[in-house]
Amino acid sequence: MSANGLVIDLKGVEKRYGRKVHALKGIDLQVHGGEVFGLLGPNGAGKSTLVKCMLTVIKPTHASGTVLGNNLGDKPTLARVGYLPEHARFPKHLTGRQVVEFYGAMAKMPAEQTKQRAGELIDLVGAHDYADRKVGGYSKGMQQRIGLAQAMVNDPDLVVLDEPTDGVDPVGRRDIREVLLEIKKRGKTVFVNSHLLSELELICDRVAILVGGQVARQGAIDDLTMDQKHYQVRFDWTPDKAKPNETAKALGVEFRQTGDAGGVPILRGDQGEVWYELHGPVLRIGTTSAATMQPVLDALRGAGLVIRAMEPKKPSLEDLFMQVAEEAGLDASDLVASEKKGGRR
Amino acid sequence: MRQTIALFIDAYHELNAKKLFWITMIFSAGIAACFFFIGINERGMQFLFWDVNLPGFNTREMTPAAFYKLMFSFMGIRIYLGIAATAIAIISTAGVFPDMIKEGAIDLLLSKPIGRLRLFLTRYATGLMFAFLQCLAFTTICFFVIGFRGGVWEPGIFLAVPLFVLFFSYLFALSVFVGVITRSTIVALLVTILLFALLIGLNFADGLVRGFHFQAEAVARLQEDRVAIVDAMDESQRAELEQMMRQRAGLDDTDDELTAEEVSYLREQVSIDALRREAEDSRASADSIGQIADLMYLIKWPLPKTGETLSLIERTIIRAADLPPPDVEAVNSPFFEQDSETVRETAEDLERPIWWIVGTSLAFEFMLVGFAAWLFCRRDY
Repeated sequence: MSANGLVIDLKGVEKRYGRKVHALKGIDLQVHGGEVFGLLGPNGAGKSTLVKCMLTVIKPTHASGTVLGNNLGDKPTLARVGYLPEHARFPKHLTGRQVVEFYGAMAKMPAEQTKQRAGELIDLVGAHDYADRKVGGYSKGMQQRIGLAQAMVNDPDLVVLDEPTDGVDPVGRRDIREVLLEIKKRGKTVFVNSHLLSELELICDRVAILVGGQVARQGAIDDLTMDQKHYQVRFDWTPDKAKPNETAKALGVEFRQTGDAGGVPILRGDQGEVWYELHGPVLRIGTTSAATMQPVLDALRGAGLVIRAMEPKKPSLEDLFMQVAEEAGLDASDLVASEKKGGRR
Repeated sequence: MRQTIALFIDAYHELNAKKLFWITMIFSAGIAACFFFIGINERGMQFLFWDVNLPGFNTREMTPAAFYKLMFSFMGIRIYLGIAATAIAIISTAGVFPDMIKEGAIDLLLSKPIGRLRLFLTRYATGLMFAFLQCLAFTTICFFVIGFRGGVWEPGIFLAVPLFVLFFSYLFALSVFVGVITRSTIVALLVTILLFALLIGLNFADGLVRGFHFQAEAVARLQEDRVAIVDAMDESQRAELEQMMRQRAGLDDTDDELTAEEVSYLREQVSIDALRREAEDSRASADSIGQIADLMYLIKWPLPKTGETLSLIERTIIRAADLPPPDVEAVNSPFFEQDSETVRETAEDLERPIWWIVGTSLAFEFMLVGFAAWLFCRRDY
């Protein structure tokens, strides 16, 4: 770890493939010791490229910064890093236990220590029953568990996992999540790349969102979603019988259409620092203060609008991600397309 | 060192898991067992209960030890190791690099504290392990067969192991080169097999041309030697020689039965001048074949010398293990009976130097491996 407590401190990481593809456009990223850090973004955003740059699998066009206090690209530092790549391919002729021991040896672990740790980790990831069978016959979930074990065999200070729950069933996902929290409990730093935002939300202390080779957001989830916290009011009408004019009149705002979802227009208006968004029977009010909400409710009721429910809303990581994607000009089809595009360039 | 050992153990596990590896081992044992069941006695050779009589192959003309060593040299090295075992080794090792550089596999290796060049070279060495183990197993069994059946314990034959690995490394270098560039096992395999077949064909053609060249050159030199001897004679000695030549050809006895023209023609044919003409013709013929041989030499320059390396293995093994020379027929050729010194010198002059055989082959290997290593070290995965 560096003197400032950063396990990863990247500055201006840039990667170009030829003249046309600019995969990373100057990434600045900081990961603190002992935290679980999530890197999000659609496939093709550069997540895997960034991870590979950190681990010397890809040579960045330009980069500076440190990993575990040493310069980026320093090979000996990798003895203190564990890595599970996306689509990990283990030697099929080895058993799960041999895989863990092999990568332990490649990380320069002494033989005796490797054997002992391999046994412990196989138990930890729940692969005990099939650890002595050839990896060639493993399911994806089994492989990921063995992959996690090999990533931890050298007792690393930093564990980097690229899509660790990819292709794993819900039970396996829960188990992997628990393993990650266990790693964190042991004081290690975990860096996770994933599409599964709901899972990241459960375990990550901080996240960065990568879009188009750039960091669009970076920080604690609470901090990043702070300006998105709001109250939500649900009216007693169906979407096709919305009363936008009455609502606007009651609130004293002017709505303008900013888009539509499911054929229902999204209307937005502001009043001072508070924003309002009406989408069918749902009205969102941009405040976290219950006191601010009281006159709003009074005004709505006074206009004869029937309120069915009201609740404070905290946006999910997915909401944040979608907002960032929207800001970057990506729509749902772009996100799907970018997933298909992912992989080797 | 820990990483190197781990990579070798992994390669051993990989071999162990391959059916082809064990098929090859069983095949090697089978061939060696065949050697064991072939016997030799005063009457000739014996295979199990059957007698096979080949001229020269009996204990009156050859010791049992020499017979088994000859079988190891020709059948074992030239045919089995040089063709069958090599083809199997090419098939078995074609995937060594393409498999390693697949996405998901290479990431794991490169993310470890090991330099790319070291990883590449260690993996290259593990690829040669297949050929090493294959040859070691075969040679060991043959060592015991020669020991038990021939009555001679000859550790010198184990020199075949490093030399065979060297021979195989030329082809493996191409397989690695193509595998690293294309990332495809199938393409690496096809290109290597294609080159191997091409080299076998080229070596065969080269062998024929060299054989003809050797014969023509030896004849030309012998005749030139004779002309030189004649040139050094005085007039009376030449006349005596011509008379001797005619007598040997029986021309003096047939003078009465032939016309004057025929006698004149025949005397012209059996004369010192005819000897000179023959020498000039032989030289022209040897030079023509020599040009074709030079062309073959030129074509083979940049290529690995697989055939020559196999011959080198035989030569080295023969020297080290006191095996009989494989070219038994050459010893009985008329040249050796009469002018063995000239023929021996011709053979030595036409023999391709070891530096050319090994040097150019290693240059081929270093060039391919060097480029593949450079690409492997530079590439993003």
